[in-house]
Amino acid sequence: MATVTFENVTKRFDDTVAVDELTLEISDGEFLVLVGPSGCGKSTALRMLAGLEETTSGRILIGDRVVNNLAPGARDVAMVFQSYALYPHMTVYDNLAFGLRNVRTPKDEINRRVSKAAEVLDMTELIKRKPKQLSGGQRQRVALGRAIVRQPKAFLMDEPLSNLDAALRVNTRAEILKLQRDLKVTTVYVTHDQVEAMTMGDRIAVMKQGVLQQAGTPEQLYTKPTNVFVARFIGSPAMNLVPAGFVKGAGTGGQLAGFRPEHVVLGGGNGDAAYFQATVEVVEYLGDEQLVHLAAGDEKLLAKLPVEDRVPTGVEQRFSIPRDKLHLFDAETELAVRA
Amino acid sequence: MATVENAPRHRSVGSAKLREALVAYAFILVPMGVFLLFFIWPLAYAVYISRYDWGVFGKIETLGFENYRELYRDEIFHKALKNTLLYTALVVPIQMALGLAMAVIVNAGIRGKTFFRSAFYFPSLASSAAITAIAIYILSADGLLNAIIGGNRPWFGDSDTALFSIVGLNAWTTSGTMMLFYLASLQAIPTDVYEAAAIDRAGAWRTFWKITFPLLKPGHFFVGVVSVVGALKVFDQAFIVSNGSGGPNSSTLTAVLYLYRTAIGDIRFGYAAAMGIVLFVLIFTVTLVQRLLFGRPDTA
Repeated sequence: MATVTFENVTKRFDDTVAVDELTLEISDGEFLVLVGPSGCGKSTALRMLAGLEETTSGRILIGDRVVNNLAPGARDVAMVFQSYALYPHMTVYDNLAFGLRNVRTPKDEINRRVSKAAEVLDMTELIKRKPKQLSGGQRQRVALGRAIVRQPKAFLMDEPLSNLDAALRVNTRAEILKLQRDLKVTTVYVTHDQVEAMTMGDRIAVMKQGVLQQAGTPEQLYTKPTNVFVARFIGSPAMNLVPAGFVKGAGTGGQLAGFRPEHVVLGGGNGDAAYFQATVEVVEYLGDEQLVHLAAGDEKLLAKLPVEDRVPTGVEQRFSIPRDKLHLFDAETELAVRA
Repeated sequence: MATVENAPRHRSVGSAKLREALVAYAFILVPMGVFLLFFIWPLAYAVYISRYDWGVFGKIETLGFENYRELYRDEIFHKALKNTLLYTALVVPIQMALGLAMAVIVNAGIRGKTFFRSAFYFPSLASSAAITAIAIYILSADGLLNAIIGGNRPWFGDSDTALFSIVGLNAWTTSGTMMLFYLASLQAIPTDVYEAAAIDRAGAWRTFWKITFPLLKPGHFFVGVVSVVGALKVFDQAFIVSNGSGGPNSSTLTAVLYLYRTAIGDIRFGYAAAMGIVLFVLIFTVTLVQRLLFGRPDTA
């Protein structure tokens, strides 16, 4: 186990800057999620850490050791690929044992570690099968198993759940988390799915166009986004953003007011709350709550309300937001304005 | 009721499928016709005439299986078959190993790989007659090879070395084609498997033997079949270096060369056809065995 550090790391592909001056420190045993839309540089950052891409400038450290010029195998990290990248001609056992055999681990030790991993991942029955005889979820387990038998300094995971169906994804998410908590191995996990990021990460680093936007705990990102991009990206459904003047008692001109659909309250607006008037366009009934689509002039807004609230469509009503749930951003720089 | 309503729709789906199938068969028809006319028909005809003493003007005498019995006793045919099998056993592994080595070299990210690819493939492009003529010059008693190693052996003229010289010549000229086949196969291996192996601390040598080589199974099968079939049919180089005789001392007499000599030289078409059939059965069997051994690829 070890810390992982990116120091001003840049990666250029010809004229394109994939990762721009990334500086990020990941503590020993921490689960860090790199999240962002496709093309934001998160996978490139992970691949540079793995040694599969060279850095254009900057330093990457695993523990105290600068690894920029080390081959992937010499970095002592294990990676789980999006495609799983299993060795198709080998059995599950051989897939798991390959990395150990490469460094001449004694047979007994290989056997012990592979059996342990198979047991932990509940795939003892599958040990003699080849990848083509396994389901997507089972292949995913083998890929995880291949990482854990190595007992590496860090796990690198590149969208490992994206090929699984929704139900399996939720289960596997929990399994990966449990595994990481048990093994306490520093983990860098790449995903484009903010729900995955929020539920799994000790900390989340949000990237956009190669630039790190914010790194912090899920709570920090949710409650104190540093800019409009993070505010919109984290949270589902996404945060409402309107000119501050639209919400009575919010900010000044030249500012954007942001508020999450789940913080909108029907009525109110006295004392400690800002408010606005809007017409209900569509109501989506979700069982335990309702998603209410609102319109006010050109603005389209979303509110998540308790099912008890009566919100007939076509009727204009007052909605309010508790002042402490209101976010203000500079309209030009899109950075958060803190009171 | 619903069934009745749906019935016309089913019929129209069916007829669309039928029309599609008919169009497909129409496309297959032409190549299939060529295949039947130039491959299956001659093969069937060869089976037919192999049961006769057959001359330029056709049937002379009905022999039944006598031609096959004669083949069984014919020591020259045995010698030709032995030469062909020895040649195949030597040339196939060399061709495959050379082809694979060259493919791995040009597939690696080295400088000037386009040049190497062309250079390696060039001998396969040139006409085999021209290349053989050059080889005859290089391997003659006073040729380039002897000038370099300081000997005076006529490599094609000595029965101890003639067949091996053809092996060397053919390994050189055909390995470029094998390289192309292997190259296509190499490029079909997903890069992430190599990345996983690199992270799994496999060195270059282990990566080649444990990842690349086994994942080339479909390539090995294809190259193996092409190579074996080509080797069992070897004719032109043996014909050119020995002036059609298969000499010296029958050392370059291959099965197809003997077949040719029997048909064209001795005008014994029936006997030559029997030889052809035996050769066909041999090639067919070897290909089947190869398919059983290497035919199924491992894909995830």
